[in-house]
Amino acid sequence: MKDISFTTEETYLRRHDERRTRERRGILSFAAGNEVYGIEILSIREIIKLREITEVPRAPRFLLGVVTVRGLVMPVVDLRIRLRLDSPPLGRNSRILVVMHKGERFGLLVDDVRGVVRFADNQIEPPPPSLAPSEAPFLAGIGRHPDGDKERMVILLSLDAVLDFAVAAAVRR
Amino acid sequence: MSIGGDGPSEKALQEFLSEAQEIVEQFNRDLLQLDEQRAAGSFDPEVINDAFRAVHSLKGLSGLFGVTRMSNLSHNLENLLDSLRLGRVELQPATLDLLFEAVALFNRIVAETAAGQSGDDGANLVEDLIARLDRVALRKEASPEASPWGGWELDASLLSVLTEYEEHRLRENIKNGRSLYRIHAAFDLMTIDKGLDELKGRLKPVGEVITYLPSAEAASDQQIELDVILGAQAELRAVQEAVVGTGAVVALLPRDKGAAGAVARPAPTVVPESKSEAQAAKKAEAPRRKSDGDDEELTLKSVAQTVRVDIRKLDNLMNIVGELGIARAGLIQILDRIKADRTQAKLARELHHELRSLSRRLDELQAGILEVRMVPLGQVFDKLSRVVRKISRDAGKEIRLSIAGADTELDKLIVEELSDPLMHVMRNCIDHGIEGPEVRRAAGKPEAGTISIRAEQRGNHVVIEIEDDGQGLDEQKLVRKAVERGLVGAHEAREMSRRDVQNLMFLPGVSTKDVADHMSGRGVGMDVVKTNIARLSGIIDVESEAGQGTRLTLTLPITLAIIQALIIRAAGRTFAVPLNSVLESLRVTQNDVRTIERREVMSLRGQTLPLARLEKLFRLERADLEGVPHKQFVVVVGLAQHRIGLLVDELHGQEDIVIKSLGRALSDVPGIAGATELGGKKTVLVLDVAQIVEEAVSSGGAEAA
Amino acid sequence: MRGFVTAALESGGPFAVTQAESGFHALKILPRNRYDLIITDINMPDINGLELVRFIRDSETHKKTALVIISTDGREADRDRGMKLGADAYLTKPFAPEQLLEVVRSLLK
Repeated sequence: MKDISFTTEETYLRRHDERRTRERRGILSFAAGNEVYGIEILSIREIIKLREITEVPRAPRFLLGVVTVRGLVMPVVDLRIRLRLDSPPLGRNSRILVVMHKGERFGLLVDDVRGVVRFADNQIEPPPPSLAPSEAPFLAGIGRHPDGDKERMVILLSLDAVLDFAVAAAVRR
Repeated sequence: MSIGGDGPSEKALQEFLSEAQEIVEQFNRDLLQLDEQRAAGSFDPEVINDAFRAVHSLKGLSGLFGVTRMSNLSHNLENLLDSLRLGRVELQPATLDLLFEAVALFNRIVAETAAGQSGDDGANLVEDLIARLDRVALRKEASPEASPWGGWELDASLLSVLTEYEEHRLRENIKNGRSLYRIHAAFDLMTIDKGLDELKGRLKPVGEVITYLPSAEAASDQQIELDVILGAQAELRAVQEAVVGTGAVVALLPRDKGAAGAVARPAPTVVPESKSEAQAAKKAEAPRRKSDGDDEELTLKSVAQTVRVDIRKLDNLMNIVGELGIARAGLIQILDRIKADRTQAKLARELHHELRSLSRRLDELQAGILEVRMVPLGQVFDKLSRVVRKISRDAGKEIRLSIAGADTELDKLIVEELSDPLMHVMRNCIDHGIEGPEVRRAAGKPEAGTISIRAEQRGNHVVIEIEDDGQGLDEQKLVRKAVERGLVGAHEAREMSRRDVQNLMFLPGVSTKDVADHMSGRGVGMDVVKTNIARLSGIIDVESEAGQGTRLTLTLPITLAIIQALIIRAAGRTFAVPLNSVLESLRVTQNDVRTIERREVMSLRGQTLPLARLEKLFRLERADLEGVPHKQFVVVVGLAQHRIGLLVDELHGQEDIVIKSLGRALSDVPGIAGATELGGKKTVLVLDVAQIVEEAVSSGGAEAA
Repeated sequence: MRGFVTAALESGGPFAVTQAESGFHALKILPRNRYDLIITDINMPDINGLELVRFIRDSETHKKTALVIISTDGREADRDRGMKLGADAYLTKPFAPEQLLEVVRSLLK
């Protein structure tokens, strides 16, 4: 299993297209709050570096604000706060994943993008009940894959659950 | 729906058929009315106008769906009906028969289209009818060159001080066959406000005031003299009666001799001699920013070449134009750098020249796309008339619906969002406003209730007025219900002005019926309507007289796409405030801000203006430790009769911005309407003034620090 | 618009600014005071800016007063009429405070 390191959005997109034609289920793995998570690669539009985020007043803490990418405005969610994880300080490897959810774009702030992992169906298990209960509603499963002589674990996220929020409910008095 | 390609899909076909059928039915009903009126001797111009509009809709509809036979027939029928409604051709019995034939032919075409038949023999019938229609249409009164002002003599000094818009209103009045009056009035400087209000009040029911001309010669230190130009359907005597007691003198404007009755079109063509000229003349209606030369091209093609466009594609185009604007800004920066280098002066000049061209084209492109998004309100109004017919039938009330200004155009998005609220308003009108026939008879009113919808463009806005001659608002009941629901304190209620009381109808729960009926439940409250209108950055207002009727006025921006905005900063963040909500802005210091009952206010021209600190409302924290600066700005914004002043730190001037949606997840964030990119670099939130005002008002304004 | 213009003028000051709420209001205050410069919007309801320009140019007190008209983009005809009636300069919305100040200063030299 090759880990691909991404240096530019263009490189990523090109490889993304190549891979999409070969794999049945590709997962983009990334680090957030000291854990490794994954999202279906088909949901991901692009990966961008950190940029200035315009704050939206009276929004929940996990909603950092909005950014404009190529003329399109989208909300940016801090995945670490959303999943109630630790929030290490943002660094050079921090990225925003631009994902599609119900026809609209969202940004997910993560600490580090790892690579694309292919999973066969038998390598994915449902999430164990012992995992932190606060995370549970967002999890879609656990993927294990061999990496050399080690076994890597990727916690698969349900994008629907992560992005299913309506800010008004959180804000209205 | 996607752009039309190889013929209508099944669903689209059904849509077309049902709409077409309705319109043809309406047309038929109009003709039946005219038939009845023929016996009485005089035709109601409203009915002819209605028939004209029905055929016009049919033309558009069949053009969209590619039913060529129908659109050709409608096209020629429209010509004839246009001449009829303008009085250029007389409606004789034979002509009416022709029109009935057209109805039969329409029905046949609809049936054939539904059955999937091409109806070749039908095509011959259509051609034959068209030929006969044309013969009638061209048989106009042998009038000489009709003057461009429809027979009215308007002196140059009057015309030279009219704005384009007022000139347009003048022409519209003339086109609609109204008479023009000049009303001369003198006012004492001390009491001019009252005197004007009085005069305005007297003239409003009689006609439309086109403009007020101040006359400098007669002005003494104590007096001002004015000439009011009025367009009215009424006779001279009626207008004079309306202003009796005010000291105003009414006179008809002079007319050309020998031009009585002939109402011509404004330039360019005068008497249509061929089909194409007739079409060009017709398109001179409601002129937009097109050059005359293009009009003819457009009309000749318009029948077969309208295109259905997914509005998201237009949004995409707008985005691209926005991006081009950003690129242009970048180029300008580069130009500046080149200019700084003296050795590159020639290069700088050339680049500057090209950039200017580019800018011009870009502006044209932007305007062009905006124009494409514009559709006439007639779309919504047609649907409304069908809805009204149904509701009134169900309610057992007879309603006469009159529509004006169906040509007025608005952004397609707004027009589509309007149909629901307008429908609710109609329902409200018919259910609560118009009385049953017996009650009306007893009150001396005509048995049929009248609802009139008037749309008009005023500057950057479109104003839609919906007026009924029903029983008006029951103000006591409104107050009672509002107090019952805890929306207003009993004490407050006693202090409220009439206007405030009437506006109670927009509070939730106040305007619905007490008992749900089996047909429409409780009805949809006017608070929902108000919210929907506010979402379109519009406002709604009500005026009512007990026993006489109610008028609702909706004011909407013409387009949501590009607006002018005032850029402000508060607590280190930048925001954009749509300029059409801004009434004024002023500099203040903290000394100007007072606190009354824990609310911050200031005094503005003798009145108390409630204030709202944007940073408090939005719970923004200041980065620096200095706190609120001593000098700030107040941006006064308004929503219907409510005004508040927003306290902000800096004003950064005006910009044209494109508002972009924040997406569904954030669409309900209170106080924010969207976002925009300023100068291509900075994403800035656009304030939703309506929501902010409501929030400030309902929470009692900002709390004192 | 009034507020914006006033704020712009005051910030580029020192100017003593009087605001009129409408064409009518302007009719009231113009004959009784002397002004060095008048700025008016064109598209106003009831008494529009053009009528005001004519009134001003016909009046004794302000026949020669510097006069600036503000027009809306796209309405060149209105602007031209205003200039023909005797305005000295025009500004087209939207404009920046600096543009306004430039015009004002050059007219008041």
